[in-house]
Amino acid sequence: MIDETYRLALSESSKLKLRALAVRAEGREDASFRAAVLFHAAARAERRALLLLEAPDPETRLRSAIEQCGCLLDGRDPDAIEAWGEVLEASEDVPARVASAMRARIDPGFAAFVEAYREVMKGAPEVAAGLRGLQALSQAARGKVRRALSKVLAAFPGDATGWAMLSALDSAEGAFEAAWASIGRARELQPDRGWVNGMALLLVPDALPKERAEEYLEAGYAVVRRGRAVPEVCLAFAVASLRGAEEANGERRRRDLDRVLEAVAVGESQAPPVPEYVRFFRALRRIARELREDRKPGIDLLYRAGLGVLVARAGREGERDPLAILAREVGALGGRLHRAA
Amino acid sequence: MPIARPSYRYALEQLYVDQPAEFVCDTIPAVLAWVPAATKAGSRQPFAFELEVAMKDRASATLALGWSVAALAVWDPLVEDRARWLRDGRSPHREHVAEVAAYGLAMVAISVLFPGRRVVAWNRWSAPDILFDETPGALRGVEVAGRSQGGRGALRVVCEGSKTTPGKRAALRDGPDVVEAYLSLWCSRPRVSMMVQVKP
Repeated sequence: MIDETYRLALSESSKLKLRALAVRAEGREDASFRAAVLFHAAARAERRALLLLEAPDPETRLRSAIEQCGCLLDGRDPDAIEAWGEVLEASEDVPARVASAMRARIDPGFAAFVEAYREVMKGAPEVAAGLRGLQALSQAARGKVRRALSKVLAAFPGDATGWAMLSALDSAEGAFEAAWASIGRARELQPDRGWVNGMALLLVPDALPKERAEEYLEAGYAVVRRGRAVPEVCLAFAVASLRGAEEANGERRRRDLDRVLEAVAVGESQAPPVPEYVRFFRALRRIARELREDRKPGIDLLYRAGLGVLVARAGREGERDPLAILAREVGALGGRLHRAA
Repeated sequence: MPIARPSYRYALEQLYVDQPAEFVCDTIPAVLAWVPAATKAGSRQPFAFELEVAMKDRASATLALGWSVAALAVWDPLVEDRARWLRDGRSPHREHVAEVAAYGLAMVAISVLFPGRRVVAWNRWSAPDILFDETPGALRGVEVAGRSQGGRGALRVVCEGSKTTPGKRAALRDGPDVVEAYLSLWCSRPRVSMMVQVKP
C-alpha cells in the first residue's frame, strides 16, 4: 500500500514535466524560461515525493535522484551538476549493472550538458570572475560581465544564480526595476532558496513603492517570527528593516529596530559555522543598537565586527556608510557561497 | 481459415475519459500536429496505424485514429492553436513534438489494449516512461518512443539497439524494481506501431 501523498507528489511532478515539454516544443514567447520554471517545480515535487517514503529502497532512491537531476538538465540549470552527486551516491547502493541500466538515458544527457556548460563558460570568463565577487569589479568590468552573462542565460535560462547575478548588476547600477524583474525570475526558479529570497528582500526598499515594500517586509517578518527564516533571509530582512528604521521616527523606528534584533537572533541560531555570517550578524546588531541610542553608526563599527576588510576594499574615497556596505555584501553573499568554487 | 486482423477505432477525445485529463491535455496538440503532418497522401481521418503487437493473448491489429477538434476543445480551448504552434513554430525544440505525440499515442494504446488501466505518473529520465502502477519496488508501465520516419526497421533499432546504441528492451529488463513493462513505439511515416511485452 503506498501513501496517497506520495502518489500525489509523483503525479504533480509528472504533470509539470509534460507541461514543460509541451511549452518548450510550442516555442511561444519566453518558452525556454517558462519551461525551465516548470521543470524546476517538477524537480521539487519529485524530491517531496521521495521524502514522503519512510524507507525508500535503493532503486527508488536512484530513480528519484535521476529524475531530479534530469529535471534540472531539462530546466537548463547548472545546479544539475551539483544534483549529479546524488545520482552517483544513490548508484553506490545498487549493483553496477542495475545502475548502468537505470542511468542509460541520463549518463549521455548529463555528459552533453556538462560539455555545453563548459563551452559557454569558456566563452564567458567574466561570469566566473563575477561569481567570486561582483563588488570588486569596476563599472567597465561589470559591463563585460553583463554581456557574458547574457550569453550564459541565453543558453541556460534555468540558472537561478545567473538571474540573481544579473539582478545584482542592475542593482549596483541603480536599475532597481530591472533588478527586481531578474530576482523575480530567480525566485520563480528556486522559490525555496534562502539566499534568492534574501536578495529579493534587500531590493525591496529600492524597487517597490513604499506601501508595497512595507507589505513585503511585513510578510518577511512573519517568516522570521515563526523562527523559520534561513540565515540569508534573516540577514536581508535585518538590512532592509534597518534601512526603514533610518528613515522612521518614534514608535515605528523602535518597532523596526526590535525586529532587526529579533531577525539577528533567529539568524544566528541557524547560521552555518561560516565566520562571514557571524560577523555580518554582529555588525547588524551593533548598527541596530546605535540607532536605538539615536546615534549615527560609524564605519569603525565594521572593524569591530571583524569586517574591516570591507572598509579597506571600499577604498579611501569609497562608501563610508556601514549599512550600505553591509547591504552590498549581504547581497553578494548567497550567490558567492552558492557557486563560488 | 486465416484469422481476421482485429481493428480498433479510437476517437482521440475518448482519451480524456480513459486517462487522467491532466496527462492527456499536453499530449493531444502534439498528436494533432504530428500524425497528419508527416505524410502528404492519406492525410484524412481516420489515420490508420499498423499495430504490431508482441504480447501474450493479444494479436497484431489496425488502429484507426480520428478526432473532433470541437470535442477536444471542450477539454482544452487552445488545442487547435497549440497544434498549429507545434506544426508551424520555429522552436529549436521541435524534436520534442514526436516525443510528446508518442506519449499521447501510447496512452491510446494502453486504453485500447488494457481497458481500465490508468496512467498515474510519467518519468522523463528513467524507464519506463509511463507508469500505471508507481508502487516503489514494483513498477508497472510502458516505455515509449516516436520516430518520424523509418518504419518498423527504425522501431526495431529503438527496441533492440544497434552497434552504437543500447536498446530500450535491455534497459527495461535490467530494472529490478520493474515487474511489468512494455514498449510502445510509433512511427508516423509510414504509420506503424509496435507494442512489445518485455516483462513478465
